[in-house]
Formats: sequence, C-alpha cells, structure tokens
Amino acid sequence: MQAIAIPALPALETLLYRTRHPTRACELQADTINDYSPTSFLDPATLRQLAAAPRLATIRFSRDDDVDLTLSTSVSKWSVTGIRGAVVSTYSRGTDQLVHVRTLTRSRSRLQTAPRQEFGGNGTGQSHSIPDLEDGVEYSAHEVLRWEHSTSYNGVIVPAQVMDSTFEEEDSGWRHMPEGRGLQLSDRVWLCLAIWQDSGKQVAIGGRSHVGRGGGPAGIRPP
Amino acid sequence: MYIGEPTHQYHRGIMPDTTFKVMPPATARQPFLAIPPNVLMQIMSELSQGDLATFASLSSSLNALVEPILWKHLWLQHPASLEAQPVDDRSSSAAITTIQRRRARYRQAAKERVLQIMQAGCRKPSRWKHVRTVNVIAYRFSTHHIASILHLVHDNITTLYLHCAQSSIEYARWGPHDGILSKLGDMVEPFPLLDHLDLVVCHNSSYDQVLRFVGLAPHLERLRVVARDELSLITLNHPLDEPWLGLPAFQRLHTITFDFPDDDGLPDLCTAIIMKAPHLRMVTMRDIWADLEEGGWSDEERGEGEGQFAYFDALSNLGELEFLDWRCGSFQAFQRAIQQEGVFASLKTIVVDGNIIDESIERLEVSRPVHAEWGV
Repeated sequence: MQAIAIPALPALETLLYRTRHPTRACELQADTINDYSPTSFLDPATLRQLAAAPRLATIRFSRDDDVDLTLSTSVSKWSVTGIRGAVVSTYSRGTDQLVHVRTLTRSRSRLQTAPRQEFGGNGTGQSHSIPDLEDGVEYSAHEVLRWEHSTSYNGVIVPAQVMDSTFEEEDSGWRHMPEGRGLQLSDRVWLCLAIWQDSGKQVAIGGRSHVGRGGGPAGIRPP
Repeated sequence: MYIGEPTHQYHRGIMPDTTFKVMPPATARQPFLAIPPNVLMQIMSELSQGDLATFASLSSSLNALVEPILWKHLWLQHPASLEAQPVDDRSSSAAITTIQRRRARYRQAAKERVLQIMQAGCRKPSRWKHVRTVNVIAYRFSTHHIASILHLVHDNITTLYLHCAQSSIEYARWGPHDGILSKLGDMVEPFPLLDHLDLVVCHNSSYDQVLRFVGLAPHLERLRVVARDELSLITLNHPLDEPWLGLPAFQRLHTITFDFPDDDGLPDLCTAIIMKAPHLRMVTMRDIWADLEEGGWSDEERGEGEGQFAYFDALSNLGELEFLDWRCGSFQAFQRAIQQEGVFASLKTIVVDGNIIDESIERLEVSRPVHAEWGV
C-alpha cells in the first residue's frame, strides 16, 4: 500500500484506481516475489497519507470500465464482483488515534509451467498463466482472495492478539467495528491500548517501530 | 472485417498465399445470384421462419443478396413475425444466431425508416412542437434534413443526441464525412431549453466547431462530447488563443463528460467549456492523453508559476466539484497539481488510471501475516 498515492484532499471519500493486466510475465514475476515483504505493513508514510485525507473511507481497485457500477458496489460484494481495495477507519480520542485498515487482496504462489496462455478472471480464485517472453519460462499463479486487517495505535502496529484481548468484552469484535473516519471507542478500549503501549513490547523491524507476533499478552485488563 | 484489418493468417504470423488464382464467375459459383432479386424475394417470402433460418445459414453469398431485400421487407412489413423464435426442428443454433443478427440489423433499419418519416414530417411543423427529445444519427442523413429538423424544434427540445460519427467500415468505404457540425453551427438557431446534449463528433470536425455548437445551448445541465478515434476533431482553423471568449456562461451545467483520443487541440476545448461552467459538480475526462511535457503544456513552455497546465487550472477553480474521473494522464501530474492549498476542496470521489498492474495489488497487504484472516 505504500506504493499507492493518496491525494491530500480534505473532502475525499472514495478513491478508485483503474488497473490493467500485466502485458509481460516479468511484471508478474517481479511482483510475486514481494509477497509478505517485511515492509508491507501500515507504515508511517501510509499513515501520513491517510491523515492528509481525513474523510477517505474506501480505496478501490478495479479493471472494470463501468465506473458507476464499481463505485456503487457495496464493500460486502467486492469479492463477488472482482473489486479489491481497502476500507479505512479511524477512531480518536484527544491525541490518541487508532487506525484500522482492512484490505481485500489475494495471495498468489508460483506454480508449474502452464500449458497455455490464459488471461482474465475476476479475481475470485481463478488461475492464470502468462508466458515469459524474455527467458521462455512460464509462470502461473493461483490467487486466493482474503480480507486482511491491520491496526495502528498512535503510529504503532497493534498485533491481532492484542486487539482480540482489547475487544473481548466489547459487543462486537475489532474486525467488525463500525467503519468510518473520526469515530469513537469506549474508554475501556482506549485504556487497554494505553496499557499495552506502556508495556513496551515493541520491536524494531526494518528500522521502524513495530510489534512482534507475540507482543500482546493474552487478556489485557484495565487496572 | 474492414479494409486494412489484418487477416487471421497475418495475425498469426503466417504469410497468406498470394498466388493468383482464376476464380469462376460469381453466378457459376452461386446460382442464386443469377435469379433476379424480386423473383428471389417472392420465393423466399413463401418459406417458413425455420426454413429461412436454415437457408440463411447456408451461403454467405446468398445472405448478402437476401439481406438488403428480404429481411428488410419482412421486418418492415411483418415485424411481429420475426419476434418469435424459429420453431422448425431443422433450425440449428447457428441458424438461430444468424436470424437474430439479421433481426437486430433490421431493427436498426426500421429505426432509420422512422427517422426518414420524421424528416418527411418536417413539412408539417405543427406536429413537431411537442417534441422534447431528438435522437439523430447524423451520418445517415443529409445536413439539410438534420438542420430542418433542428430548425423546427430548436426552441422546444430539452434533450438532443446528435451522433455524427462514422464507423470504421463507413469511413473506409466512403471516406470522411464533410464536416456536418460546421454546417449545423451556421444553420441552427439557439436552443433555449436544451439541458442535455450528447454529441458524438465525426471526422473533419474541429474543436471550435464543437464549441460553436455547444454555445447554442446556454442552459445546458449535462454535456457529453465523444470522439471515436484520432481522426476526429482535426483542427481545421488555427487554435484560438482564448477559445472560451465566444461562449456563453453555462450557469446550470453540472455534469460534463469528455471522451476523446489523443489530440493536440482537445485541452483547449475542455478548458474553454470548463472555464465557462463555474458550477460543475461531476467531470469525466477519459482518454485525453494530452502530452504533459510537449506541445506547450509543460511548465517550462508556459512559464514558471503559471500552473501545471490549462485544464488543471480550470478544474482547480471549480469550488463545487465533487466527482472527477481523471483517466487522461499521469496521476503524478495530478498529485503535483493538488499540492496547491485550497484546490479541489470539495472533491469526494476520484477515479484515476494509476497504471497499476492488476495482478500486483497484493502490495495492498498492509499488515503482516499475523493479521491474516483467510476466506472472504
């Protein structure tokens, strides 16, 4: 997401990127090897971009020419229609801010040489292959759509376990919080997050502040 | 296939057999061609729909002969009979497809016939005063007829679809159209009530002709201007320095769509209309790949401090703009433009062509796998 440019516009609510198919296999190959790179988390640059667009709620990616249809499709139907993108939510109290971004994307893995060239698909679990015109090797990929959630509290990534513990006594889980910008949370949630931040479980990844896999003690309780 | 289109063999890199062959006469290859058309039509009229469908799938030569007479005759005289699907068991699916294709083609022929009747009706102006919407496919008719229709209804219509475009096939066969828009601009009077104009311009139209025609409708609310290919909107006259000077103010215009291929004169056209429409809320500019670095649009050629380029300047002055479909240039240029404070302050939705490879969107993974939640 760091590669996505978000315009710094005060009223911007929806950003739709038109995408295109790869025309050469080397494009696909170059992107494939970036899966799960250590830099692919909600980094400060992305947070700054989101802060500069204080009303931005959805970023959509689609190769459909029907812009009206793409814009009118609800988030719950993205996976059916082949749209992918991100839903951005922010919650704030005073200077504290929790950013929650959930993205519908896909993982791909390089498979064996494919017998025939085959483009297309709507991104719903279809396989496709592209011949590499450079070295004669073909790659293919199988894509699996999935939702991913990412949270940042005051600029620090919050692990899923910490979020689970923080919201375990809330009516809805943190993955199903009301979505929007500038929303509010209960005092208990803010208190739990503050306690977790003070516990100093952060580790450094790639020179940036990050929290490791085991950073969240199970069951954070306010005093 | 249109003239100039590569054949299948060419497409696959196989050289065609160019050996000269003496072909038998057409009538020897296809005896139906020797039958006079009116006799053939009489014979075919006696066939059932199923027989017709089967017959139509047999020979392309026969189809070519039958098409201009029988099918049109059947459609115009008995349109309801062609609505039913053929029921004959001998009709193959291919034949049904053929008959459906013919049917669609002659629906269009029937529409054109209606329009011809409309032209004839021009002699009775009283019948035209209730017309609110005019849909003209202009290349089928003479400029005189179109101008006659528009002259009769110019003070009464609210919606006008004027499609002057030629298809590639027609262009290849008959050459470019003779600049119908310029003649209309001279002949047609203003449209005081027109609020929706859908204009598909043809070859040999110039952008100042488009401006002149659009300027006849000062109360427009929605405007769409489309050019189909790069031959459209050739600038016949010298570009005007400030083309918006002759235009009225479009105070009610809230939605515009420009859909053009690349052309040097187009930024002027877009800018001219935008400059005169201060209350635009929705702007779609598609496929206008104006070169940002050449042709006078770079910062250097425009001089320092004069902004990015013309229609960015015009757009950024729109205080009510909420929707921008900006698929006509690099997003980086857009990013540079909005760095000025206060521009696009009301913009809620942007559509951009980010030149992003669709298969690369896994970069959207903003979190590490510890957050992964499989399934949708």
